[in-house]
Order: sequence, then structure tokens, then C-alpha cells
Amino acid sequence: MRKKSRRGDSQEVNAGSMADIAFLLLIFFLVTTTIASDKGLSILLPPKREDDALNEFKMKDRNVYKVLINSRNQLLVEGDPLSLSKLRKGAKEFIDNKGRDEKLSESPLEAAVSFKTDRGTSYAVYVRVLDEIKAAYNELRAEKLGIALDAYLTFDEKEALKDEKLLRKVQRFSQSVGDNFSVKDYLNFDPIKKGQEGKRKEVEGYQKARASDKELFIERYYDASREYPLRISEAEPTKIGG
Amino acid sequence: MAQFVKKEKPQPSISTASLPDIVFMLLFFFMVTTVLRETDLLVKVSIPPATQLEKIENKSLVSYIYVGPPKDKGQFGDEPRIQVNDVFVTPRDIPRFIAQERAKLDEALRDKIIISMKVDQNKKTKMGIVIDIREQLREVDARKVNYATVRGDDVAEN
Repeated sequence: MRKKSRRGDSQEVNAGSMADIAFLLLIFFLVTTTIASDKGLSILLPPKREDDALNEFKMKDRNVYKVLINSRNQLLVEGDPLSLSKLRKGAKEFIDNKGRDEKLSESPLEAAVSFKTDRGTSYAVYVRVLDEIKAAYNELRAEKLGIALDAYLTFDEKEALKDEKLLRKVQRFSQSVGDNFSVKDYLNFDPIKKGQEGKRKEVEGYQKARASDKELFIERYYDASREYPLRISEAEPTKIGG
Repeated sequence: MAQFVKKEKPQPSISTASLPDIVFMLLFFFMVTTVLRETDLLVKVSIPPATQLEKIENKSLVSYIYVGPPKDKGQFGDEPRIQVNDVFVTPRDIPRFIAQERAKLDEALRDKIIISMKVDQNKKTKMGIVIDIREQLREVDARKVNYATVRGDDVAEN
């Protein structure tokens, strides 16, 4: 009896080299790994240019925050030279003016940032300026929400969209309006815009479902981005220094 | 005088029995995070830093354009060039590239294509080349552009 069991022991495969094998694989993957970094600054390019549509978008001069970078990477903002570190503050003041100062924008909804570079502007500077303008918008939104900029940036929208409370709310909303709304539709719903189309019922249903309480952070999050819409337009570049 | 005799302590040895487990754990981590690179980079690309990063949600929609000085200086010089897939291209070739990339996507997703521009931050890389690409992208209506950046600290100079 005892002999038998001993024989069974000796048949076990030696696992001592397991670590070596694993190490080999590990080193292979360590070497081949590039941790995917699909992060960056997103922008939406203007639509295809048509010859007769050049002057299509006429905006009031005071609502456009003009940022120029020349081929020597110097910044000109609203006609005055400005250092990069002051751009964020300047842009914030401009966007969030709400009609107070006559030289600055009328309202955040109207304000836009026009951003123009030369062909000779270096790409690194371009990215820095774009980053600063985005930071201005994000800071305004974060302030609106009453959180820090870092917290705003790390807020995981995708996770928040799966919130059960939100899903239930959307369901209720869909029922009250008599239409099927997705979560994004619900969050992007603009009662004023829809009201113009004569959808009174929808507006009332919306207001019932939403106006009472704004307990969900994601709703306020969407409200903040609606209040400060990101409007960065890139003007046609000049041909200097290409 | 009392004599203190140092007792010979046996050197405690750390058990290495759990080593395979640890290594396997690391192994799985790297296996999961690994993306095998499909294209060989012909250009040097060091991505500029930024703070306001946005993550691209849907990776299958992304196509990459690389811009930077060629690695092989002797053959291609050191002026920044555009690389897509495995070849250098001129801005004129961009529309064809986009058409190819669109053909890989589902029909419903074709107009949602995102172009990730991985552009070198070297001083020699100017906006001119980026603008040329951008104009071509506008032509074919691939307007969602993402300038790839790494997370950097607040960089404020001047």
C-alpha cells in the first residue's frame, strides 16, 4: 500500500522550471509591448470648402477671440502680443464675459475662438496653444460644476452613462414624452430648440422629468458643456514660412 | 566576565515557491495590455505633451497618420515626411488612404472614422505639412481629427 503511493509521487511533473518558462514569455511580451495611448486633443475640422461659401459664417466681431501664431511662434491675441501662460486666463475672461465688458463676448453661447497659424508655426507650439484654449473651456465647465479641473478631466462619462438611476430616469422620460429616447438623446435634449419646432408636449414632459431635481451629476455635466460649447474654429492658414 | 556566544542562526531563506505565480501575474498583465504593432515606423515620432487629453472611445474607428523626420536620414533626408501604413506618402495620397480605411469599417460607421495624427514635436515639424493633411481630410470629409499627445505637466514658458 505504502509502496504504491510512493510511486504515484514520483510520477509528478517537476514544476521547478515553470518560473523559467514564464519568465521567457514575460520577457517576450515586455519587449513587444507598446501600451496603447490613444489619447490626444480632438477637434472637428470645418466642412469642405466651397468657393462661394467663404463668407457664410458671419459673426459679430466682439464674439470672436482671435488667436494668431506667426512663423516665429509668437502669439498675437486680439491684436496684442500675449505670452502663452496668460492665454488661458484671457480666453476664460473672454468667454465668460456675459456681456459685461463691451470688448469681450456677449455670452458663452455666442463666443468662439478663432485660431490661425502660419505654415511655418511649429507643431509643438500649435498643440500647446490648442491645449490652453481647451483648458480654458474645461476650467469654465469645471467651475460651473463646482469641481476641480483635474476631477473634471478624469470624470468617466462612459461609466456614468451606465448609472441605473440615469437609465430609470430616461425610461420615465421616454414614457412621459411618448417617444423612445436613448440616454445620449436624453442628455442632449434641448427643450428650447425642440420647442421651436412646436413640440410643446415634449418640452413639458422634459421639464417634468428633469427640472424638479438635478441630483445626477452627469446631467449637470452635460448642462455645463451645453452652457460652454466648445467653439474653436481654425481660420485658413497663411502661407508664410512653409 | 560573561561571554556572549553568538548563536549560529540559520540564514532564513525566502521561499521561491510563489515566484511562478508572481511571474505569471505579470505575464498576464502584459499579455492583456500588449498591442502588437502592425506598422514599422519609418519616421521618428516623439509626441508632444498636453494636459487636456481626451480618450478615444472606439478604437476600431481610428486610423493613424504619422508625421516626422525619417529615421533613415541618408536615404530620405531630414525633412518631415508623412507615413501611412508602411510607406511614405504625399498629401495627395491621403484621400485614397482614407478610402481604404473606410472600406475596412462597417458601412454604418464609415462616416465616423477618426484620424489620429501622430506628429513629431521636433522644431523642424511645422504646421505646413499638418495643414496640407488637414485640407485633404476636409476634402474627403474625414473631419474628426485627434492630435495624439502624451500627458504632460502644465508647460508654461515665457
